[in-house]
Amino acid sequence: MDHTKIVSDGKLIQQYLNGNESSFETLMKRHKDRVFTSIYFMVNDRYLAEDIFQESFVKAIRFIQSGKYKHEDKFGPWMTRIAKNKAIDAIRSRKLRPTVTDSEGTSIFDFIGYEDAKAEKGMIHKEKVNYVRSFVHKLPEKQKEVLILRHYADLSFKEIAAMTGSNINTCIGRMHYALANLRKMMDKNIMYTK
Amino acid sequence: MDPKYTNKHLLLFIYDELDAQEVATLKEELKSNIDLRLEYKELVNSVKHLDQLWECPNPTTVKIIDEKAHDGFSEMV
Repeated sequence: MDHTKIVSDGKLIQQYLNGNESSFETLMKRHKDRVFTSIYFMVNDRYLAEDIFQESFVKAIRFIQSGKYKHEDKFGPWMTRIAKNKAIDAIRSRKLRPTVTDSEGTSIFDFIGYEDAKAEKGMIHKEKVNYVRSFVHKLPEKQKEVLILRHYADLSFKEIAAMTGSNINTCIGRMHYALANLRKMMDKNIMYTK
Repeated sequence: MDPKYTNKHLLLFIYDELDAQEVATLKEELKSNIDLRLEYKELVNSVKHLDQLWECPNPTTVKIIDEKAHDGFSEMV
């Protein structure tokens, strides 16, 4: 017997609607990091990301409970679309500034511009990660969008094309430019030259 | 880079979206084509950096959502 067999998203939703309470828990565990990381990159604020994450999942729960959910195994793209729309609303309404907090509530820009070679010694992993994060935020908006949706939200290029109204080759091209630009930024940064 | 294979193929391969048949031929090409292999390694390296940036929601937030799912469930049944 294959104990590792994964129940599809559509099946979990059906089980939840049939009264299995733990099925939604399983579904959320499967998608929570993808959705949360994507939101966090969109709004660049840990606390706001938590709010949007919660609002998005509650909206999804209410919709599923109403019996209107028809996306079967496309829960990931559907959930990402809800989260993305909520993130856009939040950015518009709060007029977010492009800085805010890292996973511990510290401004990531505490690290940006701090390129003193002497500082390299003793740099810890967290700081290095913050650099990479800041590089992602410096990418042109459309490149960043594809990178978030492909790498973190785990949408296929085809799904991204449908979501963003672009064609698939444009999306793949943007992803390539995003990775190339990240590489360039890392090459220029003293922390990545050795 | 071999014009037969472009960055598009490499990215589709990295993200597991390339057709099975093309995967086999691309793997063969990667063995012999140094330029292509170099580009592939550069892309993989960039992607690996992205893997450091995963974030998890706060467990309290997850718990609240679970409770909402259970609350609604009680109302449903």
